[in-house]
Order: sequence, then C-alpha cells, then structure tokens
Amino acid sequence: MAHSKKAPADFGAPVKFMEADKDSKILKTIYEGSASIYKNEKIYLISRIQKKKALSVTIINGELSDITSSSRCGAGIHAFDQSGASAFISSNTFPQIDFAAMCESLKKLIASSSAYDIKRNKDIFKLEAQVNIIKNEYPHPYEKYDLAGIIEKAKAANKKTQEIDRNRLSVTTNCTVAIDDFIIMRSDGTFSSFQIPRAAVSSSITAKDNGQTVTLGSRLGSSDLSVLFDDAVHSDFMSQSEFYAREALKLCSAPSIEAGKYRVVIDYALAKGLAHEAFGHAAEADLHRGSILWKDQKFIKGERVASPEVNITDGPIFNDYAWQPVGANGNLRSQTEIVKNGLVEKSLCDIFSSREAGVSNENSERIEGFDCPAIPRMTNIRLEYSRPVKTDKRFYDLTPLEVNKMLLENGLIAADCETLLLLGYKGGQVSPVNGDFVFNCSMIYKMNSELRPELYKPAIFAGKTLSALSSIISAIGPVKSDALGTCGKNGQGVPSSGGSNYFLVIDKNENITIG
Amino acid sequence: MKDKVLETLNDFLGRLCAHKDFTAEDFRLTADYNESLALGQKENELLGPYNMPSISKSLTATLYIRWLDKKISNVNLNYAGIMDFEKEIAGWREKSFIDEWAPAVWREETFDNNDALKYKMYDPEIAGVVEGNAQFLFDAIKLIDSKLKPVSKLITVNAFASINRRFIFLGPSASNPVYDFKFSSAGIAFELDNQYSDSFIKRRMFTFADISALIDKAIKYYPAFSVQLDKKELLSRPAVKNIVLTPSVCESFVNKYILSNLYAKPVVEKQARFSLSDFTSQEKHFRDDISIKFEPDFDEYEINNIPLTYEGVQCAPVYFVKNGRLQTPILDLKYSKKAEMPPTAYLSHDTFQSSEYKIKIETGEYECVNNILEDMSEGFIIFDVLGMHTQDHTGGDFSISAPHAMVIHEGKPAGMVKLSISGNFFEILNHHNTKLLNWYGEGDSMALKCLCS
Repeated sequence: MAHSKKAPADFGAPVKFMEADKDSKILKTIYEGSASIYKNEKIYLISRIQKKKALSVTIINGELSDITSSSRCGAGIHAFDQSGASAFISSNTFPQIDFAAMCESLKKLIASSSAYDIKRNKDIFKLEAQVNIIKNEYPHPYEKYDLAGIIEKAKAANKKTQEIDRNRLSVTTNCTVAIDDFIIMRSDGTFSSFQIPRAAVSSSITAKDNGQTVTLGSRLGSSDLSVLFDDAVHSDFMSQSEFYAREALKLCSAPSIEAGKYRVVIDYALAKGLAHEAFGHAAEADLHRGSILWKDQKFIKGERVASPEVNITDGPIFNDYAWQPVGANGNLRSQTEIVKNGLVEKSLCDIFSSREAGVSNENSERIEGFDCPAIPRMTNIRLEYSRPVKTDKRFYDLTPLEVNKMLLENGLIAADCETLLLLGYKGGQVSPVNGDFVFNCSMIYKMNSELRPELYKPAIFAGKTLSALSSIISAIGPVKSDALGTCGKNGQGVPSSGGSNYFLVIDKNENITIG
Repeated sequence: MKDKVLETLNDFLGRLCAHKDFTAEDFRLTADYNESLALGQKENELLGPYNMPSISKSLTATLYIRWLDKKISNVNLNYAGIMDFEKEIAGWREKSFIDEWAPAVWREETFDNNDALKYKMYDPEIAGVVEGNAQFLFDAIKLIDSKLKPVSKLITVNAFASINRRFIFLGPSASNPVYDFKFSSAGIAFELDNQYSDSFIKRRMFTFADISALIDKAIKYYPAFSVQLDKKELLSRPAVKNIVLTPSVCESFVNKYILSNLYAKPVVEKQARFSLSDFTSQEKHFRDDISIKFEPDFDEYEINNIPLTYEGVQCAPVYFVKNGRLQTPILDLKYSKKAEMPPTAYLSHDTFQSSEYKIKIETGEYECVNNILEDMSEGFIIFDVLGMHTQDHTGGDFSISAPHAMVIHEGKPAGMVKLSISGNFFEILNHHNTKLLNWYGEGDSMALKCLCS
C-alpha cells in the first residue's frame, strides 16, 4: 500500500523524474531547484503541489437540484533561511509557475522581516528525509461508478427519508466527492506523493409540526464510494437518517430539559466531539502553551487525566473519510497515543513544535490546500474505554429503549441523580486555555428504571474537559470511528473523523452541565 | 492590476466559444483575480513557522452554461482549468443536467460598469501593501502588542491586506467583460490571553486611529476579565436576567437566527422558519419597530460595498423585513424564478469574497449602551459565546455557553462569570423589553432578558 524509504541523499536528489507528462518538467525544476537553492544560498524549501477535483450532487425532496463540479490546482512554497526566519508564497497557476520568481519573492519577504524581533525556528533542518509514494486499492473506487449511479443512489436515500412523512418533512441530501492529490518536496530530497479521496453523504431533515420547526442532520463518509455502494456502510447512513426523521417529528412537541447536573450517556459521535474538540486540540503542540496540558512551562506527560481504562489515540485510518497517511511536511504520520491507560502520553506535534513541547515529532501537521501553512492537527481521533459492556448488535439497532435496558441491567442508571442519553453530535467548541467545552446534541432521552425513555429537546452539554474525562465510568459496545466532521482550526477546513465505544457513560460532575 | 489576467480570460473565452463541443445557448463567467499578504504574531512571538509572512495569488472562476439542449452546468474553475479547458469540456457536458428552474443568464438593463465603479470599494494603499510594502502591518501589530502588554500575558495579532479584480462576462458574443471592477479589503484582529478578541475589517486600509479605538476598548474592559466572581452568589438557580450582547455576539445571533432563515432556498424548500407564503402575504413575524435590511455603505468602505452579486445582479439596498412584516427572502436567480419574485442582493462569500457582510436591524428606539448599563442594577454583558454554530436556527431555541460574562452591579462592572444562557431568540427579539443599542458607535448591540444559569 505504501512505499516509503529514507532519502539517501544529503540535500541531493534521489528521485528521478520521467518526462511522462507536462507536469514532470516543472516538478523536476522545483525538486532540483529546492536542493540547489539550499546548496548555494542556504534557503530551505518545502513545496506542496495540490490537484483537487470535486463533485457535489444535491437532491431536494426527491428531485435533482444541483450538480457542481470543481477543480483546484496550485503550489505553495514555505522557505526558511539559516537563522530560522521563514516566509510562504502560493499560486494557483500551477503548472505554469515561475519557480525562480517565487523564490526571489520569498527571499525578499524573509529579508523584510529580519529588521524585527521575530520568532525563528531552525528545526526543519533536523527533519529526516523520506521518499513516500503511496498508492491504494479501494473496494469501491470512483472509477467503478458513473455519475448516474451516484445520483440514483442519493435520490433513493433522499426519497426514502422524506417518505416517512411527506407532508411534514423536507429533506435535502447532498453527496460530495473529492479527490485530492498531493506532492510534497523538500530541499533535503524528500519526495512524497499521495492521494486522499473522500466521499460524504448528508441529509438535512426539517420537520414542521405543531407550529414548531426542527432540523436534524445525518451524515456518513468514506475514502471511496463505500458510503453509497457498500451495503453495510450505506445501511448505517439510512438507519441514521430514518431514525432522525422520525425523532425530528417527535421533537416538534418535546419539552425542554431542566438545566442541571446529570449522569450523561453520550453516543460515539458526541464522544468523538469530546475527544476532538475538548482534548485533541489541547494536545496539538502549537496550542500547548497556556493550555490545560501545559504546566510549569512543559507538557504534562505522565499526568493522570482519566481512569486506566481510557485511551485516546489519533492517526490515519485507511478508507476513512479523514484518512491522510503523510504529514503536510512530507513525512509519514504516526499513530499517536495521546492518552494511554488514563495517563497523558504524547502530543500531536510537528517538527516546529516538538522541541519546545519536549516531546517526539509525530509528523501530525495538515493543510487544507496548497495555499495554507501547515499546522498540527488531528485526522482520526478515537476515545476508547477498554472494558465496555459488550453487545453484538449494530449501533443503529440499539434504540433508546435498548440502551435504557443495558444501562439498567449493568447498574449504570444513577441512584442520586437523573441519567440522560444524548444522541447526535451537532458540533461543538472549546477553549483550550481553560478546557471549557460546549457541545450540542440532536436529542435527549431521560433514562429510567421503568424502561420508558422520555424524549426532550436538545440542550447544550457544557463543562470542563478534564472533569469530563475523569468522570468516564463505563461504556457500551465496541469502538465505532466513522463520526465525520470538518475541523476549522485557524480558518482551514480539513476533514476530520473519529469515534469511541458506541456509548460512553460520564458520571455526574459539578463541572458538567446540561442546558 | 494585472491586465494580463484580462488577456488570459479573453483568450480563454475566444478559444472556448470556437470549440466544436461548446454548444452553449448562453453562459456567464465570473472570474476573480486575487492577491493578498498576511502576517501575524502568535502568543507574543512575531511571525514564526505558523505565522510567517504569506503572499498568495490566485485566479478562480465560476462558469454557468445553458447548453442548446437546455441542460445546464455549474463549474468552479481555477487557472489550470481555464488554460486546459479542452480536457475539461467533456466533463462539463457529462455533468450537465436538466433543471426546470434553471435561470436565464441575467443582464442588468440599466446598471452598467460605470455605475459599478462608483462604489467605494478599492483602496490603492492596500495594493501597495500587497505588493510587499508590509511595514505598516508590522507597525500596527507592534502598536497593539505594546499598548496591550500591560493588561495581557499572551497577545496574538493577525493582519492582512487583499486586492481583487472581478470580471463578469455574459454570453457567447461577449468579447470583453460586461463588468470589470476592483475591490480590496484589509483587517487586523487580536486576541488577549485567548479570552478577549476584537477586530477591524473594511475595504480601505485601517489606520492607527482605527486600531486605537480597539485598544481603548480592550483597556476599558479586559482588566475586569481577571476578576472572577463566585457565580453561586449571583445565581443559586436558573433565573431570567438582563443581559447585553456586545456587537460581535449580537451579530452572531442575527446571522444564525435571522439571516439563515431569510435565504430563499430553505424558505422555498420548507426548511426555514418562514415559508414563501409568509413573504408573499407579508406576514408579521417581528415587532412593529423592527426592520431588517441590506445596504451598501458608500462612504465607509464597508465589506457590504459590492455593486453586483456573483451572478451579475445589482446589489441594490433591500428590506427583508419592514416594520415587522416579511418582504422578500434573499433571492439568487434560481430561487427568484422558483419563488416568482425579483432577485435581490445575494449575500454570500462568492459575492463579497469575504464572510464579513452584514444585514442591519433598523429600529425606532436606538439607545446608547451607557444609558442602559447605568440603569441596569443587576445584569451581565456577554462578550463571547461558545456553540452558536451548533444551534438549530429554524426553531429559534438557543442553549449556549457564555464563557466571559461581565457582571454589572449597580451600573458598574464587577467581575467575570461563566454563564449558560437559553431561550427562544425570536420570542426574545420581539419582546417589548428587548432594546437595540449602539455600542460605542461601532455597531449594533442588544439588551434583552433570557434564562441564565
């Protein structure tokens, strides 16, 4: 699947370019020019070439509403001088770029900033050179399906959801497909080439009843077209959509939950939100300083933040929506154990942040596109509880009543407070400084010993990250890691994904509030 | 600015129209050539590997084609697609589709390029910065850093300058763009200890006076952020309290709950709070004294100052709500046809090349914020909220966290608490106690009562 090796040359050129297509000439110019400018002028370059094709199909209430195709192509170059001062330039005219002129502009930019007391970082010179040519085979590759098949499948999904109640439901289904090709080259001879395809299907479901309007959203993704054409994966999407459509109708007349402290049971998508927003971002090394994971001028490695059953890991998962095997600086990305057996272990860092954080480089940087600077960030984050209540059922076969039964049978309904089941992640936000987080869910059920779950409107789930992690007392089911989203750190939107056990049980805590 | 881009586009259209497979009845090409420069300081450190000075140049375009067989294509292009369109044209055709609501290419009858050029939207000073004369951006960052250092441990500042030239070509016989105009933007934003933030963005270069106003406000309010009060003293249980929303918070409420429900697509497709019939019969959904409008501000180089939408429709001033009654949704050409109403200024990133465009609430009662604070014996000023993007705008209910709420006691700031606030925005906006305020002359803010816990 992946071909990787260390580049043997020291600031040389181990990659030979075949004159096979019109891009090879400019790629060779950049590759050899990058080595040359370092050799002659001690300017180190990281060049990123992106070619992206995307397609979006929109179906509204059974009718094809829009098809939009997009293409994007460009080059971005990050330059460093020997003192560690840097500058960045990008152009979307690739392959027609003037590499020499771009280098001149970069040198001028670096020179113009040298009069100021600026932050310098020379760690790029220590990064190991690699050659990574990554090609994959997928079960449902894009080449195998035509546009008509994609439209037909999206239309069928839309109709089936709306037909639950044509009079009271309006459904927009969107299918997006993107194929991103990246080439990353560095002055040290590094050459990495990889493709990150992705597909996502989502339905926005609006219910109008009783003078009230409620909108819920279902979504699922994959690297290839599994989300449409793999029966098991597509069935997950349909189960999610149909459940949300039915519950949206009920929510139009559901009461609000009283604000307060509860024991909460969250589904794996909300748990992904907790791991991603509340903990993952704080674990990104460029945000360490002043974060909840930074004490006495250092990363809190070894500190206990959760029970020994809790592990949090980030790293690429093949054929997942957010899969990205290579960091944006060109080296293979690691699987990073951020929390191991409840103890803080590693941070998500790149070459620029690892030394200051006092941790090893995990090559965890990503970019939205060729015109963006690279920053440390997650791909597929998983929060795992190692001794969950076991079940053989599919996640979508576990109704609120089934969950209520399992909680009751395993003594997980709280005696001193109400127990709430929160379903459906609608996004969240966190302050890495103090660990304050807020998430919103799609719906809430009050669990009870009479096995009659009561539905309530969604309410904010807010609290302190470390309080939430330390309050995880149990879980139900195996890990499911396909909860997708788009991470918007620093204004760059990149696909993210992850998950947890089917359900996590978080005990009542003074620092966690619902509503 | 870059006549070579115009040559490139003219050449592209000449070759495209002559291509044997381009069997178009009509088309529109909207192209943007953009150059920008950005730099910043992160947590006291100027530049560095994540905030280095960055220059970007790009040519992007949207192509809308009505083919002879009545199918349509929507294509987003960049430079490579323009230069290499021969490879792409078969794909455009393959992805074309029948849409009974597909609009004709719009041609303004009376609004020509000379009218477009009257808008105050381009500042040549910004062009100078984009070309690499970034001294002023460095000086502006240093000013903020030096003035706010006494009140903040970690200061992050980002500044940018950007120029854009837009070309709109209409139809197969267009050998030159029907519209060809330039616009610019520049902005600066800062964050103190990752807690307090403020920003300034307009279509002109900002000045030291603009920055000083932001600094003065930060010095007035930010020191109180470090005075934490014990929330339990104030709120032993959830209670309805007076709150004042600062302009950025007020804007996030307005954008989430009002703007999102005004777009014609969700209105027509029954996915918004308001239905199309609510607009056609001008139903009353807001208080009598509330009107909601979009208008360019010709003198102040606001981001709203763009003469035409990306579809070539004039961005004329428009009331979406007048005296509490719905007037028109925000209509692009497709939904104008579907709703059988004239198109309006279409508020989108594609139109403004920015997300900072604004609708305005116009009200008869518009009080000065100081009067309200002095009269408020007990209440809170909300400086930011977490989780607004997760709320359901169609219902109007909100339940969000306000991590930095300033306690007002006997009309004076008394310290900070963290609050959860909840309610229904439409019910609150329409309540007679809710007041629209002017926040130190810089924007709309709001005083209202909601459930605080």
